[in-house]
Amino acid sequence: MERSSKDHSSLWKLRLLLFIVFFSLVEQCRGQYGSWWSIASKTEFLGANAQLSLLGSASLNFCSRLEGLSKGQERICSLHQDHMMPVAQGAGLAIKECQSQFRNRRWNCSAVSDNKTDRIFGPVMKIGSRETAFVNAISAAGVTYAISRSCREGEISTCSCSRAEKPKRLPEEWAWGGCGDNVRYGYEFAKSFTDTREKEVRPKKGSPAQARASMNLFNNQAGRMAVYKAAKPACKCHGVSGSCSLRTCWQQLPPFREIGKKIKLRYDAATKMAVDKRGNLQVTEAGYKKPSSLDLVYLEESPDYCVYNKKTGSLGTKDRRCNPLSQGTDGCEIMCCGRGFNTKKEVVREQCDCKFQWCCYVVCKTCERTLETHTCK
Amino acid sequence: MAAFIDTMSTKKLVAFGLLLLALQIVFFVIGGTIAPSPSNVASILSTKCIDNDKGKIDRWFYPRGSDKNKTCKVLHDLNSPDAERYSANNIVFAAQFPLPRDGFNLTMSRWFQYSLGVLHPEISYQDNGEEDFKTELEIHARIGYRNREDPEDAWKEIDRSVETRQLDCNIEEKHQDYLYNCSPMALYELGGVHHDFYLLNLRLPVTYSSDGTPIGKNVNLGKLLDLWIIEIHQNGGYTRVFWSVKTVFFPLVLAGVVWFWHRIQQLARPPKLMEKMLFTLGLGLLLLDTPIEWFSLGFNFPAMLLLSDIRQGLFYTILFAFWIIFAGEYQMDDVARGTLSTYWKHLSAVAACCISLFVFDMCERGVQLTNVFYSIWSTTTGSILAKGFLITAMCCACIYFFFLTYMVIIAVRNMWDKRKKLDKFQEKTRKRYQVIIFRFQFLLLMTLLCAAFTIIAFIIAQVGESSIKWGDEDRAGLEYTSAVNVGVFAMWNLYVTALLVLYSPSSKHESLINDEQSEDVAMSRLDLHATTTTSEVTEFLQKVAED
Repeated sequence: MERSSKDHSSLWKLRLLLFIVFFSLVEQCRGQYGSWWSIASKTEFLGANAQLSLLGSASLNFCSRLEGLSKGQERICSLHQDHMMPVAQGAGLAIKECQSQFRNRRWNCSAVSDNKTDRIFGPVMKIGSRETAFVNAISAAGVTYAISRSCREGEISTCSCSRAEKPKRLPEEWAWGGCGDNVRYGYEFAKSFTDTREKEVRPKKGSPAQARASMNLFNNQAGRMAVYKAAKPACKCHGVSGSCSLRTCWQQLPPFREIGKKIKLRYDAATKMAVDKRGNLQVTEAGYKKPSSLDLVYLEESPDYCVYNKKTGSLGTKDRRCNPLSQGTDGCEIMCCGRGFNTKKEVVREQCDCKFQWCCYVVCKTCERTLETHTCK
Repeated sequence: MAAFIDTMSTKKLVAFGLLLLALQIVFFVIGGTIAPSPSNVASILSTKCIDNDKGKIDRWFYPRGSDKNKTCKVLHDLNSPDAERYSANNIVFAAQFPLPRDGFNLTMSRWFQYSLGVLHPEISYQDNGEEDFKTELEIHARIGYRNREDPEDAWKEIDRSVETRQLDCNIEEKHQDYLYNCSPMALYELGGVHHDFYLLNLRLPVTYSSDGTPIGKNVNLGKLLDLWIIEIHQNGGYTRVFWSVKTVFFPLVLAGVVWFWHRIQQLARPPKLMEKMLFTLGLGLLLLDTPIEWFSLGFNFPAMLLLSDIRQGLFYTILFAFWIIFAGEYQMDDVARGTLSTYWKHLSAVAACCISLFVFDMCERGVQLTNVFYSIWSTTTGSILAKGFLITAMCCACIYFFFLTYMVIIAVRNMWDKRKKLDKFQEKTRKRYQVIIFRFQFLLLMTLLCAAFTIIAFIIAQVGESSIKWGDEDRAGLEYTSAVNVGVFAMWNLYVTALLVLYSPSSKHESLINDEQSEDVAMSRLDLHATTTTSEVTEFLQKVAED
């Protein structure tokens, strides 16, 4: 990658200035829940058209200004600044997916309204609950997914060749045996990036802090593995006359939606764990199977999400929409925690039956219908 | 005729067999440990560049380079509100390979030999969409290359073409935003990788009718989100190992063939069909082993892929014909053989099979020499034609194997019959029959072993290849597919070399050459005198004794 071009560097200085001004404002809100996924809201600043490699020479401050990153993450950030855009995209993907998977639950993965702060999910994340487990897993998955995708686009030039041991010999090694798949790199990068913050502090073995770190590590791994396992093989025959005497296969990643759904299933079947004196996670209830590397684990029961609670971070289900006919979690009975619901009728005109046309516009019909909305009291 | 194999002592034969086995193992291990996997695959997500001229001005779009903002204005998401300003004709899918890695701008290598591209569209499901959809895709494709020393914008065109491809997609779970499973489509095939960088520019244009509604094949595409290009090429390391093996075998086989020919020249009689056939087989292998591939390192020679196909095809044709003739010549019945015309039925099955495969290959890889994007499968007529060729080849192959199995079974049965009656013959005659039977059985066993090994190894390799998951990449360090490919190649080389050595006329026992005539009689009469009167047997034995 070229690292010159004056036009761009001046453009970048301007961007960076905006950046710093913005972040110094944000600085004040820097929260105590320290979650790196707040980076998701920074995609526009990380810059879609930006010449990301320029960042490297531009500023070392850049990473410390991205709030929510731990010390180790800041270090990784400064080493791999061109990775931060995909990381942000991955975090955004994860948040969107979480909200989609949980739209019918009492806890709906709602980002705290002020999404400019790092308190994306609020204090809920302080509790080692199933929900925290899910958020950790899906964001690790998001980063894995986004990084490997960017590698495939050739956007990040530093994506590694998984076979190369000595970087200097890479061109020869590439000519000899090619490169491994990029998902592997995404996996490795996500591992170092997401796990670092749990490994920085070394709390006493068996302490709650250590238990929580172990839980996060476990769930991060589950999230990354979910991406790994979701890939489907596809093959092409190219032997003599196109016969299958030679066949090459590759892995295709499904849309993130599918991965989100798989992690959601793991959430439903999450295992409750506790640490023993040696600091290892153990299944608390006798007779339960040891969780596999794809499973989610949690330490504490979820707080009551029915009512607003500043301390636990629960937003309550007041004013949430519900479905009076459903017996599931989106049913008014469950969603409103027995408080009953209000019904409002209105006639709405909206776009419906939308079809995306190649390319690039959407054809919709306009429908008029009576909309009955039920909201919890 | 006395062949080398008859005069060899059991000890020597066993030693020879062990030597071959050791060599075989050595080549298998070389393939498995030194060589990397045969091919490497890179999934490249094409960059969506905006072309404001809608393709009216001929220029290249490339997403990487110092002024990439000028050469490719990127559209990140086709589904975003941003994209609504553009029409299909504004979008160029650009893929530049190889991808950069670890900060290196990697280059393609001439060792890669071939590069082929597979197109894989990501189409997402829309509410009330179909579960399966098939449509035709119209691709305006262009491929170019650039070398290291060239300026960044000096892309030179290799080919451009307007292609149609059959798009065949289905979805298992109908959910919004889920992707259809689309079968990958062959995009291009380069018979030589002579340059450093390659660039693909693809367009999926639509035309507009007078009232502004889009028409054309691509209108039915639906919600196309991305276009993946799967680039596959042979690994350089594999090429090196394979060529080395070839180059080692070439003088070996050449020596074998020359030696064999020399022996035949020394015979007092004209060579027999079996010998001629074996010689042809040697020549076929020699042609296959000629390491002309080395030239592709220096010269751009895209026909190399086709040429290797043809050479390989020729070798297998001769091998199949050889088996038929071998089984026929050892039939031990009273039918007079000895000329190719006796085998016209069998050989025409082989010929039909190979010719139809040859025609198919010429239609696919042959035409690709003039248009790298060409694929016989892309049009309906073409794909019917292609299927026709392949089905013909398959039927002929079935007929061939039926013939071969039948002949082998008959031969084996006859031999069992003869063996039971051997005691009735004189010592000398009995020995000769035993020799014939042994020769046949030895080759039959060897052939069966080789064929079984080939088939089993390939099946395991196929199953293994498609079930590999990530994380298994660092398995045991043995590249199974390479081991099989190199091993099988070496095996057929050793097989033919062994045949050339073992079945060449032996000079040690010159006297046996005189037995030639009687042996033929013996072979053809064997069936008769086993069932007829003793007088005939004595008469026959007398004749033998006279020699």
